[in-house]
Amino acid sequence: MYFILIKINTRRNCLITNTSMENKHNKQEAEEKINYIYQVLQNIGNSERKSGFHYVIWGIAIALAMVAHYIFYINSAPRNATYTWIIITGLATVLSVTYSIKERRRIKAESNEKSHTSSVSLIFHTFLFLLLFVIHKTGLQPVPVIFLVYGAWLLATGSIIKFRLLIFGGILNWAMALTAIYVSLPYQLLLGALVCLLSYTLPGYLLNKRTFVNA
Amino acid sequence: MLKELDPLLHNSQLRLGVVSILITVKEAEFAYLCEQTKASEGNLSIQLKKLKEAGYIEIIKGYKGNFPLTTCKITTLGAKKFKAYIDALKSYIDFKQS
Repeated sequence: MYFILIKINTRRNCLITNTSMENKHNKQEAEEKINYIYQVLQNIGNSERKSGFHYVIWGIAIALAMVAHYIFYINSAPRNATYTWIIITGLATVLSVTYSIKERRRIKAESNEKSHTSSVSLIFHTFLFLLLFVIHKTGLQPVPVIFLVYGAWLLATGSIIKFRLLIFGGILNWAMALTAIYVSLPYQLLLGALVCLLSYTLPGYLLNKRTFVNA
Repeated sequence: MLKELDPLLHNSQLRLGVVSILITVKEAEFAYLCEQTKASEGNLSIQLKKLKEAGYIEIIKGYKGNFPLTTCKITTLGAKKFKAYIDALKSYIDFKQS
């Protein structure tokens, strides 16, 4: 009887040791798998090109158009300002569209992040287009409203791609929108040009730089 | 409580890698998967077929310009299974021996 009890106890201890070893092995294996998944996801993040091209181009274009508008305004030639806006934004659109077509041909996988930012961009630009119509009909001040919309867009995009400078750009646009209410058009144009360079061109350039460093 | 590990994902690092990639993208080209997983085309094709048969991914055959193009996309079932697999792995990591 005593012999049988000893045998059962030995067997039990052996089973506990085996189970413990198995659990340790499983835990180690689970950690390895999690690390592997993490590594795969990190490689994708590093290889993905987050292009800041559109921010750079549009930042420069709008800043140039605003400065030109200011010059024509103080020289009492507002009609020329309208033509300048049309020419500069037209050129920026051509450059943006050409770049987008080239990029679409080049990319082999569209990330969920990019898909979300594209949707956000489409929503905000449609909203802005409708808003411009409302501004035209109601006589609202265009500069504060436009900067408010772009501020929200930059904040949303910056949060999605987790790029803090775009978020700061968004806040700067909102600050500009509030300031624009209290200053006259010439100052709105000069301040607006500066804000465009700081909130679009600079983050766009740094986004490009960061992407090429990580790639 | 330890959860069961999905053998389709657990037994092949390549299949797990493919599903991990597809979970983060809307869709990915075959060449992109090859590049990211560093797998051979033949091996990748076999594993993609297995994942497709299990309903984890969708394989779309099309053209890009004049060239044939194979694109892969994760299905709802695939995303659900991947999440369950991660939860199962976590249960092993968090498991404390009493």
